[in-house]
Amino acid sequence: MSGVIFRLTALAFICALALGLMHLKTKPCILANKKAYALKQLQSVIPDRSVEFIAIGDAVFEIREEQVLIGYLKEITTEAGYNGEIKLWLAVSLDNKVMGARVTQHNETPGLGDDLDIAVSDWILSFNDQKLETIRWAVKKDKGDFDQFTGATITPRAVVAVIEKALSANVNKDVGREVKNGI
Amino acid sequence: MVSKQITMNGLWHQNPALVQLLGLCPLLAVSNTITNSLVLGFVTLIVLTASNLIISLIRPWLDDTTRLPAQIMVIASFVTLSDLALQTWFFEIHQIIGLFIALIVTNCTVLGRAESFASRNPVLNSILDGFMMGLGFMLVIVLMGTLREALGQGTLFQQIHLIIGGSADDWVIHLPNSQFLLLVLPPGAFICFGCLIALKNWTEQIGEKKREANQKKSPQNSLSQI
Repeated sequence: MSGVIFRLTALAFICALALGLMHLKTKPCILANKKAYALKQLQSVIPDRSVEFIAIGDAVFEIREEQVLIGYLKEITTEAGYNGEIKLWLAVSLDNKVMGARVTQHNETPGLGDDLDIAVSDWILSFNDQKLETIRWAVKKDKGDFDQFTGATITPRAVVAVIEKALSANVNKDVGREVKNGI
Repeated sequence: MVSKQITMNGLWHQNPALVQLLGLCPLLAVSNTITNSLVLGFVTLIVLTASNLIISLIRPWLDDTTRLPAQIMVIASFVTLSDLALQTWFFEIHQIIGLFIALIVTNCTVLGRAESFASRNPVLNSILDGFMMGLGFMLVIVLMGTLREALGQGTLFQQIHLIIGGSADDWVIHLPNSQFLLLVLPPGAFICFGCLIALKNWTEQIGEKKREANQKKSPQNSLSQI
């Protein structure tokens, strides 16, 4: 009996050793990958400009171009999607204009509601350079200016609403206040 | 002779996906594009071969009470190792199918081969068995991925640049007018898989009928074979 226990323990020890070594070897590389991936996701929101992102809070970044503050990047979430939560990054300039938006996570139906994904269609680009006053913030079915998707109105409606909400709350002022209050 | 039998078992007669119907969770969930299928199939192949090798090696030191925990420990270790390796070298693809890489531990094919083959057979045969079973699984999942991507999304090799480098535009093939949404969705995976099983059974039946017909034509031949 004790022989059996010894053998299992020895095997467990060897396995643990292998995993530990691999973990130590790969850890720096995986961390670097994670950082690079996160940065790539941020940069994809504003692909045409070379900007820097400085974290100033939880999922809030200052966007700086040549050290000058030009806007804020913030993660926003809506529960109003057809299949639950939709997460997106929204970049807003100092004069409250959309610099870019990208959906990072959604469960919308493939082929119907996933047109909000930049990999599937260009729809999300229609928010670029819009301000609260420059466009009617609703889908066409609701007498707005944004296209809905064939067979899926709920998804674009949710995204339009959450971006409008973020703009009207004036993302920048919010961010500023949050930072001052140390939140 | 034995090696030929092991090969045929893994690829056809005892194909883990089409005949034993094992490992269906990743098979159905990940087979939406060729890229995803390739990566998951390949990692499963590596884990199967490696765990069969080690389990066959430690076979003499284990008895009935300790065999299963030891097997699971070896398999889980290899899965975690490949998970870390994938995160190191193919981080973006890991972001897409990472969940299912960790779930290879629960793929019944892996434990099934460890228990029913590697723990009873010599090392070389076990390696071959793991490799062929893995290859059989990989072929089926890649075939499913190809069908579902081509017919469902109308593309081939989407995101393949994540594993072989280059830019996306170099590789992706767009097929004209074929976007059959159902195949992208989970029910489509079941239907596609069902068709593959039916196709396999059909070819086998045809083969059997041919054999029977041959035997009837030349009874002497079949006697001499026996």
